[in-house]
Amino acid sequence: MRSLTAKLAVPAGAVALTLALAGCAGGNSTSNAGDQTLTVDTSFVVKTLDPGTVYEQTGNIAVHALYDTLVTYEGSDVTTLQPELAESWEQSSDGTTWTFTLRDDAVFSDGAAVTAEDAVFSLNRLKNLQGSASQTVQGLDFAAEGDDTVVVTSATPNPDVPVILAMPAASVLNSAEAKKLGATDAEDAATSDQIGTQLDTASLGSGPYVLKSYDPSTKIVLTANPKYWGEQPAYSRVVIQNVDVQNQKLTISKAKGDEIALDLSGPQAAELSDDLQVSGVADTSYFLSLNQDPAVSAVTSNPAFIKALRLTVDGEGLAKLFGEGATPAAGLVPPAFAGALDESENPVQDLDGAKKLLADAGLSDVKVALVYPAITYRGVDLGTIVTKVQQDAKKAGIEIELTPQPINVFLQSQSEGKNEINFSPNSLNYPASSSLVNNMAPGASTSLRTGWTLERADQSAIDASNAVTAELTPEGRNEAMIEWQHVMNEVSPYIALANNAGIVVATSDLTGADYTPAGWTVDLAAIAGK
Amino acid sequence: MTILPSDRVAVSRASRFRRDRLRVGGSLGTGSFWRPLTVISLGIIVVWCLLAAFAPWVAPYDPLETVGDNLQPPSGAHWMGTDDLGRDVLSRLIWGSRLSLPLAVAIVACSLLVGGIVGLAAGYFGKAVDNVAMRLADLVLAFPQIILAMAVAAAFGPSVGNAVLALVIVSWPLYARIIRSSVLSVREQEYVVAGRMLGLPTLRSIVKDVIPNSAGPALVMSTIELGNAILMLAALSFLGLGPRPPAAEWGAMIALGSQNLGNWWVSLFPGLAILTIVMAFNLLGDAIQDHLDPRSRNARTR
Repeated sequence: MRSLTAKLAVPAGAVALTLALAGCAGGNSTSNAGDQTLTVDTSFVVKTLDPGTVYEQTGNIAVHALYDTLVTYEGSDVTTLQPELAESWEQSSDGTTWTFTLRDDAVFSDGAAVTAEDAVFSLNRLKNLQGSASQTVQGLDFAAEGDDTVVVTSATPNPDVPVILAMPAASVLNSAEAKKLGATDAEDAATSDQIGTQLDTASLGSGPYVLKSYDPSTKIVLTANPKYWGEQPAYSRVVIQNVDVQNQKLTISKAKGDEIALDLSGPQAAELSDDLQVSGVADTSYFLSLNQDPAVSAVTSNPAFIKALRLTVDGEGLAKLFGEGATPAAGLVPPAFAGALDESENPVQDLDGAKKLLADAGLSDVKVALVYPAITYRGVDLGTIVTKVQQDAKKAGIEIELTPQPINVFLQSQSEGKNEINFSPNSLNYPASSSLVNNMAPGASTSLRTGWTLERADQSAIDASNAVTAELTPEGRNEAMIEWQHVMNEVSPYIALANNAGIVVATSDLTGADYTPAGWTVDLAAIAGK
Repeated sequence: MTILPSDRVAVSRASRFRRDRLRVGGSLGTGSFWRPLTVISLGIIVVWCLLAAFAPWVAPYDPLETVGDNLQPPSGAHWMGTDDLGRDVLSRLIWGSRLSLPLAVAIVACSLLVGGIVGLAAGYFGKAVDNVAMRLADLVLAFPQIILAMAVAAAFGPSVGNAVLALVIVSWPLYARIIRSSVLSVREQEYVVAGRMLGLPTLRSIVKDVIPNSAGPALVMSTIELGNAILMLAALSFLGLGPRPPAAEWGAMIALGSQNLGNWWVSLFPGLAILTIVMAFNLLGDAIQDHLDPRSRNARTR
């Protein structure tokens, strides 16, 4: 059945094209891993390879391999930070200052030593370029103390500093070389930085790879950095090639050499042959937000209705629709991150309970409108998900009218805050679960779009949110997030439905091809042959 | 120029011709109208109409309910398999005809009405009316049909009514042009001129003399356009601009399956449904055209 369906599925032209691509890329499968090429299939989303402005998925993957950050994550784990350029780091007791001590043996690809000055230059440049990623470092100040110490200060206690500095945009550039090319970290860098696209032709990093060639429409080629200060990567050459999502399943299924594919959806991954390895981590949550403004809806602002609708959710059934790696949602934090609720707390569908709540509240024959973006996200049609929600709600007597909207229309209507129920996916900007509180606490940005103001919120939600921000350490915040989610499951207008997994598919003889929610999808330098 | 059934050519075989045209249910094999393809096309259309009419009794399951496991390939229990939500594809297909067929008829009827009125006015009155109406039609025709329909449907928001409206807006000029060209020739005919000379009011002249003698080509066009309307409606739904989910609509069903073509049954069967009904309408339209236009009918029979 599988081979038959594959043949039927893809037109002959596409087969020829993908075979040709696989042919030129897969290449030499000799036994010596050091001379081998690793092929990465991904649908390109890339504008630049400049760490100061990189934001898109494909760019992040490449930048993470070309540059180093002060701290990083290993494999799929985003709960424990690992040293990279910094060998140790500590937080001041008041929570506002972080001190990073750099290792002394790290060098750039031209042999120059990595100094605190380079790190400060890169981070200030990121902040001042005012690109998409600059947002996360606003409010932070960076200073060098000697050659090996970087001090980061924040006006308010910020336990997330190391997490933010692990993202690819916070990579450290060779500042001397960058300045020669016109880069600057001045406050007006957004207009005075003259480096242009020069970092798209040659990289200036200390990472395990250097940039060989870059074509934003077809492929990015990386070669091993001969002067890399750490352990040499297993593959001397990595080809990241642009393969559209529909063809990736076929390409990876027919791969002869060492190859990974990054954009397969959960349902697709579930159908792959057993020869391929699938790595997935549930890192994106899907949730409903119910408008709390009585002027918008008397129904959705009724706490009894929220509770009833929450009881109709069939988390297991929803997770099944997302396919491989997906999980029901116990709380608002996806299980990939520290601070997530244990799966033993997954809610259980209780239709009778929902009916009773509705009857007690005098809500009969309720009809509400649910607005969602008409898009396919990670290979799953969001319409399918909300149809399931609609089906389950109907069993308890709640009539939901589905209104798909093109994504830009949806974003507009969502920000106007006039929709009864919104449905959308939610990913974290950086892997610290407490960042959710910034948006979803009563009166915060996302909450205001659903009319959940401080006045309308239950005091327990305000207290729980304050408890999270009062914690000064990462551990303390993660701990507080558990209680925060318990409270949110009781009194918030958010109903977490399920978590969808990001997926990396690899040919059978590879190790280390682990999906990571940290922002760079997969650590190319960690991949090796068995 | 279009040959009209009611004038000269028909004279020699007037009696038989009229009978065939008016009585579609006439005996088989007597004329060139009943070629095998035509019979098959009509058969397919009749079958789909019956399925649509009796969907609640014919469909094995509720089209909106989960009745089995997700994405089961065709089996004895589910002849056409199940979709992402475990809904029976066959049942959804049958219920889908309840949307596609009546909506296609509504689209064509509305387009014919709007286009007919505009075409009649343009052709009969000529001059400024003709100029304004035809430039307006040109304006609409200048856009690719489906792109314009998408824009209209997107502007109004997705729903059944808006999709129909969008398709009426893009397809009325076709009818307007055809009717106008028939009217242009008909209005010069002696009997029309004579009627006017005898003092027949404009409206009566149009209703009694012009419409009956210029409607033929537009009716042929409507039959062919029925297929096209189904196709366009499916295209809009495929793009998420048709009936709201979870409605069982063929275009939306194909869109759902297209996410993962490995589950071929989700897309294939609604695709076949569209193929059969659209082909049937096109072949029927051809047959009617051949029949009403004796030149091409004779060319085929010889």
